[in-house]
Amino acid sequence: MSDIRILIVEDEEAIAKMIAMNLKVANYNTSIYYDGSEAADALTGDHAYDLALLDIMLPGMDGFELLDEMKKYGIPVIFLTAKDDIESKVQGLKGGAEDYIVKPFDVLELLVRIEKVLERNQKFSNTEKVLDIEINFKEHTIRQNGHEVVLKPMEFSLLEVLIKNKNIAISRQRLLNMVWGTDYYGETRTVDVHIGQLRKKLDWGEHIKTVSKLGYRLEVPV
Amino acid sequence: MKIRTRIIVISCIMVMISSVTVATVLLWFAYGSMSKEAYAEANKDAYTCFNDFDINIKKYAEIDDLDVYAEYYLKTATDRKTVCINHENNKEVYNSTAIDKESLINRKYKTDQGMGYSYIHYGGGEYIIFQSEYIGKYVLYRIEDVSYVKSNIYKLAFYGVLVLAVVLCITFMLLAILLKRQFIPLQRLKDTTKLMADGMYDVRTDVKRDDEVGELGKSFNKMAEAVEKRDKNLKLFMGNLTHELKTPMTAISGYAQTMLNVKLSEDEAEEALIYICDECKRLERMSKKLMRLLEIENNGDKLEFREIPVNKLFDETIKTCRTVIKGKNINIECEDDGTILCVEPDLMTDVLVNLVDNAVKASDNGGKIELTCSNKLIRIRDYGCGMASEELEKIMEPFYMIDKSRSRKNGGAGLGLALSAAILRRHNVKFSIESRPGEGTIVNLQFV
Repeated sequence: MSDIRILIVEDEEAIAKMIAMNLKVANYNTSIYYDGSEAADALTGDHAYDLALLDIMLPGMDGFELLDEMKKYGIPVIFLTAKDDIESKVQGLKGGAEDYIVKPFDVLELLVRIEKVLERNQKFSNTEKVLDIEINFKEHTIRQNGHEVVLKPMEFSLLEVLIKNKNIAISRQRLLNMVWGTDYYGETRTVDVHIGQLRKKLDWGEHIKTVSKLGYRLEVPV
Repeated sequence: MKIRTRIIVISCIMVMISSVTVATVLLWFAYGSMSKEAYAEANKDAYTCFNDFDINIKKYAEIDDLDVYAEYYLKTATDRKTVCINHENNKEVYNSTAIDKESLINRKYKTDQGMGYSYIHYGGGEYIIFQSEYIGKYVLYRIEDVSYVKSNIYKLAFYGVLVLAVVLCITFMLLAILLKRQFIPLQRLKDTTKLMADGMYDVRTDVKRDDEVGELGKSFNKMAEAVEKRDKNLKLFMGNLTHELKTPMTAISGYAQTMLNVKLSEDEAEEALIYICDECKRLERMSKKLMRLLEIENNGDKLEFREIPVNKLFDETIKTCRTVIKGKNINIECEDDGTILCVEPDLMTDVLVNLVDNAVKASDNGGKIELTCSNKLIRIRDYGCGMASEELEKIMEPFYMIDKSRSRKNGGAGLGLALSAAILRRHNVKFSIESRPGEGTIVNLQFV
């Protein structure tokens, strides 16, 4: 488990647990608060969070007020709320939030946005150990058991996406968009070919799972 | 045509008609008196002339050639307006006018103080011919010019028309300016109405006057307020509704996505499924209540009212609430004076159940709730936590929950009081809540 800590403040237990479930799978640590003022109180003791996901309409203290608390400790904030009026969005983003996501949201989108915010705020280390490899995102190098594995640029990007979304199934179309870009008119077979290359080069045949009718998932023990 | 133009045109026409009428009447009288005066003057002149002739002729009555003398006298003594005729031989003795003898003799004359007179139009002028009585053997005719009367009247009329034109111009301009000022508030009202039609419900007119326009402005503002309030309520309702829909939707779709994309352990998968089920049930409950609310709001006239003793309603209510009452060990006291109410029993029971349920929620364990009815006033009183006044204003709003997380866990949707209020409105029941934090709450239902 990585040491990235994410604070969730959401008064709906069902939603808070659902987010936590996904974040845990994506290898983040989470703390949940159901009440705004409780969260603010808890911050005075422990504020070593890398990111906060805040609802706006909260009992105790609303999300906008909590945002100011978060700014005190330099914690980047993503609003996660049912309020989709322009005024709230402007207030949230101008107030200093990194992002504003309207409910209901796509779980994968939430994860990608979290990742982008963490990247912007340099919360990731350049290197990460996954299974038997050590990957350096900055230098684009991979070492497996002390030997360097040479990957083509697209293969590396694909591996990066899989690692950053560990344990989550991603469709071929989505992988195509995330790695090759939305303006790439290739076929999804391109993805299959590159996945095949990754499995072969890293000997990860059993780790990169094909999920029927959906796509691929990198399975890492949590 | 604009009202302003219409008023100006109508007023100008009225001013014109009345001035022309007055002027005509005035001119008519003036003409009458002026002609009379002119006649009197002419008459005097003619009389003097005839009289002088008479005196002079009588002096020389004996001379033979009286005709010559008469001619000589007239030629020297009078201005050239006289005709003298010898009626014995029918000879024209003297004629300084352009009118011939025959036409003078053959005219018909009216008589006035011994003189005949007759009006004649000749060459564009108007004249009076006076005829003398017989003076010896002569008859004198004198032609007096009275054209000046008419020309004076024409001159007057001309000035009148000029004055009228000026008056009309001034009237037109004054009306235009005054009416424009009078119509400014109406114009403003029109602009405001347009803004409101475009959806700006917060605009008001600032027409402050004590006339009909001011009243119109006031009632417009009243209407605007009602519209704005309704619009605000509707927006609030829709906003709350979407929010309340989004929460379960987010949970359901989130868990479904998680189950699809992530390899969950069996326990986690079961947890996700339980959440999905719960949230689905919540949606269902909410839609049922919402349907009920809409039904009551829209088909209120189809409700079947029946007469029912109030203690039956109380019994039914307590029966429905007994689990929550027992759960908190509440001591509920019922009292009624045997009143019979005309209500829709099921709906009214719903209201009472909701109110008792709220009272139980507010009460501490082992607390007391009073349910009483006297003089058609049902009162539900608890001695629980009470509410602050700002909360009192909000509790009637659909979806408002004092303790959101706890109410939801208890299956509340925040529609209970809104639903009750709708039902009570249909029953014409006055509904009021008194509450103080820490002291408890009293709910009054005054039946008519």
